[in-house]
Amino acid sequence: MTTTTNGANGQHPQDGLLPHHVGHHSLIKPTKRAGPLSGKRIIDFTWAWAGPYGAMQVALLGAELIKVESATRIDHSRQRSLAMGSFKGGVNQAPMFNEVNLNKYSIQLNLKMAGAKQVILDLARTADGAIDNFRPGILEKLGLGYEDLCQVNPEIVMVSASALGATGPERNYTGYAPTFAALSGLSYLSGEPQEPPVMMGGSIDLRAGTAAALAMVAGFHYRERTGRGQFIDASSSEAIGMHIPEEFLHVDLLGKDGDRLGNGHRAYAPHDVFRCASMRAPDAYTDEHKGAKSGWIAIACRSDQEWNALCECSGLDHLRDDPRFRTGLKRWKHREELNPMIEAWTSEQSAVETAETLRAAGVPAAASVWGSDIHHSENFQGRGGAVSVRPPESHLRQVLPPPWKLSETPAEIVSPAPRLGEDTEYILSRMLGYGADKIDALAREGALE
Amino acid sequence: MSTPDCVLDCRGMTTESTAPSTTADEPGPPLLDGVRVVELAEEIAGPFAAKLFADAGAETIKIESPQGDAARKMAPFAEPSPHRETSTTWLAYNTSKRSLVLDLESAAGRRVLHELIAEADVFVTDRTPQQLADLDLVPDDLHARHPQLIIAAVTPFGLVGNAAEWPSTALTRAHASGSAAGVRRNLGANTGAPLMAGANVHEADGGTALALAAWAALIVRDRDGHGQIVDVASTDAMMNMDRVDISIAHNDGGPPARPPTKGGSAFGGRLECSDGHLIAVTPQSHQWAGLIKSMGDPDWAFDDEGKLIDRLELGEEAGEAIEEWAKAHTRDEVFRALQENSAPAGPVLRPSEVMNSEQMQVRGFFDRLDHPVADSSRYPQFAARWNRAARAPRSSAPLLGSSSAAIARTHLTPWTPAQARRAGVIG
Repeated sequence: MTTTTNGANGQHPQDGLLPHHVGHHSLIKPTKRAGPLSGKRIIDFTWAWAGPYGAMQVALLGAELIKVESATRIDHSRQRSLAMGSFKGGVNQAPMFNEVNLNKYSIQLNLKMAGAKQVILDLARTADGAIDNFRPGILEKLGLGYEDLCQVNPEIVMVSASALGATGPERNYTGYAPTFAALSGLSYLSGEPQEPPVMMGGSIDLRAGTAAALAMVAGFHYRERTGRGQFIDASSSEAIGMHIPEEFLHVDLLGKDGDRLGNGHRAYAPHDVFRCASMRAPDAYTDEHKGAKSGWIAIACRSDQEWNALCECSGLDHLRDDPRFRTGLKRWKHREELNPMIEAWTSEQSAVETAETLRAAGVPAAASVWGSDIHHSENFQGRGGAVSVRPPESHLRQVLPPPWKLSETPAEIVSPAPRLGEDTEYILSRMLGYGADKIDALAREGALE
Repeated sequence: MSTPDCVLDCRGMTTESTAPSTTADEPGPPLLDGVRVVELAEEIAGPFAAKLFADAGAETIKIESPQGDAARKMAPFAEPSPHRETSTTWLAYNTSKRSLVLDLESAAGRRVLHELIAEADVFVTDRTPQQLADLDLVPDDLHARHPQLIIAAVTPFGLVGNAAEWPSTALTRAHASGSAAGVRRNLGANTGAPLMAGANVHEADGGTALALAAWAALIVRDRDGHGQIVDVASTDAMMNMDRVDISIAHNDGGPPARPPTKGGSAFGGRLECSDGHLIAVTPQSHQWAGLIKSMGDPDWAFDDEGKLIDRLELGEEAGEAIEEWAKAHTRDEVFRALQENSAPAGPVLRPSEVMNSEQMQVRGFFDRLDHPVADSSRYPQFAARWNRAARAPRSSAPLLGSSSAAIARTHLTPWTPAQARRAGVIG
């Protein structure tokens, strides 16, 4: 576990040039970031969840992300979330904001002011990329669209990720994660067979963000090969659709839409999640482990071999010779009878230890985990575990590392999410070389609000 | 035959700049023109990553056993059914690739694989550390032998860690990662069985994560010649999709309070319309005002002075009124009315409705690909349009071993028929 603390409590030893301003990023200088996108500067206009997570992945890969924010239009993930409702803490304390804005700088700019626009154009001159998730046309109205940025930097790579894309009759429609899932077909396909489709949440945003990040990285790669920057029009609803390609083939090739399967499978049984007596055996809990008390275990058998192994190590050995369950097809046909028999056994077991036993016998099984139980899981710990960060006005937090390990240019979490406008002065004076007079003039104009 | 074998030749390709002498407005070559990918992967995650490369123009050789990718046996099947060429899962995740059958149990087959990897820019694999070792493809050794190569691995639990060889399926991975618990929690129900999302979306997450990191690694490789090992655990990729809620559950002493997600709650939710369901979400005040306006500004939403009442102060009655209103209209009527008033909403579309939506058609999100055994079908594109890079022409998934002969002919070390037999090459 590595710890990344906030720089407000300590200066970088070599950072003696500007003692009056120590932003949280000065602990690790941008040039020391090792990721594959090290040295790239990106203007980040995104807000909410999807866009910021997309930008954050590029930042985790080493790019320098400058998040443009304003107190006149606060990123609402600093204040509330669809799932949690209003957040009672201050704008610098929201846990959801921290999770999707790690490794970023924050500059406070009111883009309606002329001076603020000039700052963006000056940044664009030095930048490699820009990313936004406004409705199409919003940045253009502010004079900061792709064409405007392109005029000062023809090689810039810009990703605009909107709900439904920048073209088409629904281009001006707005959306959030649940509507992206609804409009892509995924919501319809998610849920139990006999129940209505489910409303999806935050994971949809992060999936859309991943697609936007991939589009941007592809744009950078292309620019290095061809010298061409470009505009990339990304659709968050399509981003979900691209993750379920087979479902569209069902329409054309089978003449029908797919079904909701819940935890079930079209061919295998048992293939479900079963209630357990507890997540872990009581003596496995330590003081620091705030795990769930109730537990679930997922078990999937794809072959007679796995089924026989399950029977053998579960105390369900009598089921092995039951004619209803003798073949894969029979188990699947009689799964409504089979599942309760398995659950009668699991409901007296603990999930984590039982999954271990089953896996040791060659049966695919896993405890269905959440929260602290993820952090304590063997697979998570075995990959290096969590990263600790201390957001500026919050307590030490353990966050998930990036989803990739790169052997030569590691992707790393180097800072918590910034306070609103935390790096304004740093960016203006250090990155852009503005003098004190110029910065004062911007402040007087109201450009830095 | 959908894959034009005759025009592909590994030897002529370089990874140097393919900058064309086009004008600024003309699109340049496809994104990964000239990039060579060798794929040794099955089912969803690995093939999806390689498909993203292949669809972007990379020449992608998929290595299959004589039995083929396990996805070829996954139901459902198009006609003729069942058939190794007509699994919809197989077809969906293997567009724009070529298929080379090799018997990797034979030394000759493994040698061909090693030769192909030596010539590749990216080696995509989903084999576990033990399986890679059995093929003499230990990632560290492979990196030492071919320092320019990107070794892009997406495995259930990663290349490092003591879970690397755990037996698992898509179901157990979705639950081991917290993703299934995340879906359940978003229903507003903290009890009840954790639930996988539909289709194969959790598995596909591993593929997208791998493509992203490997594409970034290509930037480094093109700049200074250094390849590297990209190690993605599918379960890590899935877990990251729920990183916000997982963090709150772990760090903030338990689950956040959840507003109900039924229609009419503070933030909208799933509404039942006359012809199906619709999702409305109005976290911002002006969006809530838009929802009320869409309903014709009912009296109950305003106080005595005509001011919109804060939605948190409205009780269940408001929810019932919204539900009643939604039920009296079609999804499309509610969708258009809400969006006209800046209230985010989306009908819960069936995949067939997504394909037929004017929005998707105008954007060209789907293109139709022919296939020699299954009928032609519409396939989704990548979710973005690059304005100065041409879209690569795509082809449907290859027939098993359909490029074996062509690859044998153009391969650096041409094979004799006897060598090909020994390597298990068919097709």
